[in-house]
Amino acid sequence: MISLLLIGTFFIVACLFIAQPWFARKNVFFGVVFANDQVRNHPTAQKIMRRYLIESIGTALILLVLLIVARLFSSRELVLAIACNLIFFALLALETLLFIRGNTGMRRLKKQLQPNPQLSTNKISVAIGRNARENVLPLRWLLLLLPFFIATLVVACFGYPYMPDSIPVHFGLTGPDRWAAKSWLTVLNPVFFQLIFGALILFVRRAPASVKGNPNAAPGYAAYRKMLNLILILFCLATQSIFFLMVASPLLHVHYVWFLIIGVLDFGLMFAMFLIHARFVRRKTASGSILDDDDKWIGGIFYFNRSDPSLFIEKRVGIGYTVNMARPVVWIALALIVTSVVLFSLY
Amino acid sequence: MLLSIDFSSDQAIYMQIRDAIVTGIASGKLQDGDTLPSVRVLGSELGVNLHTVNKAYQLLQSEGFIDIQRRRGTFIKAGKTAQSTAAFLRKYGVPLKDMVHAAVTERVDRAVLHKMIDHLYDELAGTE
Repeated sequence: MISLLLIGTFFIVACLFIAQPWFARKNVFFGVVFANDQVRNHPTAQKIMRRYLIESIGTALILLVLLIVARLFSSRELVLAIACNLIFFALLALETLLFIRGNTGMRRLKKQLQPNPQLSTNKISVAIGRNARENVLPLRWLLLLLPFFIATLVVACFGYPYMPDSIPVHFGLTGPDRWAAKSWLTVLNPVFFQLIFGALILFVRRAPASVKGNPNAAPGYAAYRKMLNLILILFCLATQSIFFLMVASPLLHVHYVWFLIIGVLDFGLMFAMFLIHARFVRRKTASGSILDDDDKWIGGIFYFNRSDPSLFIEKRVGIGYTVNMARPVVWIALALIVTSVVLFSLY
Repeated sequence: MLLSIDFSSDQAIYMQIRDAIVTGIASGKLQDGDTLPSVRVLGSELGVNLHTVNKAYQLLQSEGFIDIQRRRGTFIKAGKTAQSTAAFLRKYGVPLKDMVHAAVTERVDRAVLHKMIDHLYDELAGTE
């Protein structure tokens, strides 16, 4: 059962990695922006894509075999856990490297092609004044997150003396499968996570599009951002309810079916996200002048722009948001998150 | 209206933002009470430093073209100066363009025209 779940997870993650270059706007190939999608008919572009597909699928298959071998031959739980983590890390690293190679190839191809006048490295225009009302998700939507947050905090604080000595911290398909010793840190952990989620949604509300140049360079982006933010809030609500149940489970008897239902709901939301991306990003055609800012996208994945004050920006490849690596605050936040994760796993 | 910035231009970005908004007021595309995006929003949409946008907004405020209200936002002020600029451009914009067009066809150096205008301004302002 567990190995099936493990292999299933690996399969889904690998598929998402392999399909990555296709989760982008029509005129963006491996994180390189073009004036239109004509370039996909270019023999070199087709060669780059074919090579990427063969190599990324091959890599995933080899790692899958390794995963099955590790599962079959490791008798000790710890060895298996380390092997699994290593294999997942290798998947992440190798697929990213293959993507970056595709990005390099596309950049080289772009240099060889006749420069398109629609692409400009130095012109950008934005709409202001009438008919340019800022289209962001109203702040009041964030209030939806408040009830569960307060409920979790109240249950954690007032229920603490009545909780047993070991607290479930992870729920699998068949109910809680990992416990931790009772402490304020364990009990309040879900509350911290909820705060971080809320703050993240607050920040991505205004994240600009990954393709700029003029309002039609990323047509319908504001509406898409609103929908994506709404889905994030729903996702957050689902996660919050899991956290609430986690905190409440030592006190009340919570049937594990609830966790399963919320898990299925999360999958539904993920699916909705794919549909919205396909409908409102993938199918749209850009027009007008497009800013050629490939040099700000390292490997087509990491955004680094010193003059851009935004902390978050839409991902150029993939669904969601990424950070502006040129902002020192981002590095501080990342360091804090990594430290807290390490500290939490140690104690 | 569209606010366009050219990063390769010799003109500073804050001046480009300022000029675009003044032109918008003069042409009537920006009207009294229209809202402008906040410094942060415009900065992140254009991908330019917050100080740059702030400098443009401060300049526009000191010239009386915009009103920056801490809580409510930034609004276009099509006040006396802006309105008279707009009225002037509406009335004389076309003949002015024709004149410059003629100067370009006759290959008159732009510095000559600039100097002529400066001279006329000095002369007329002096007689007032």
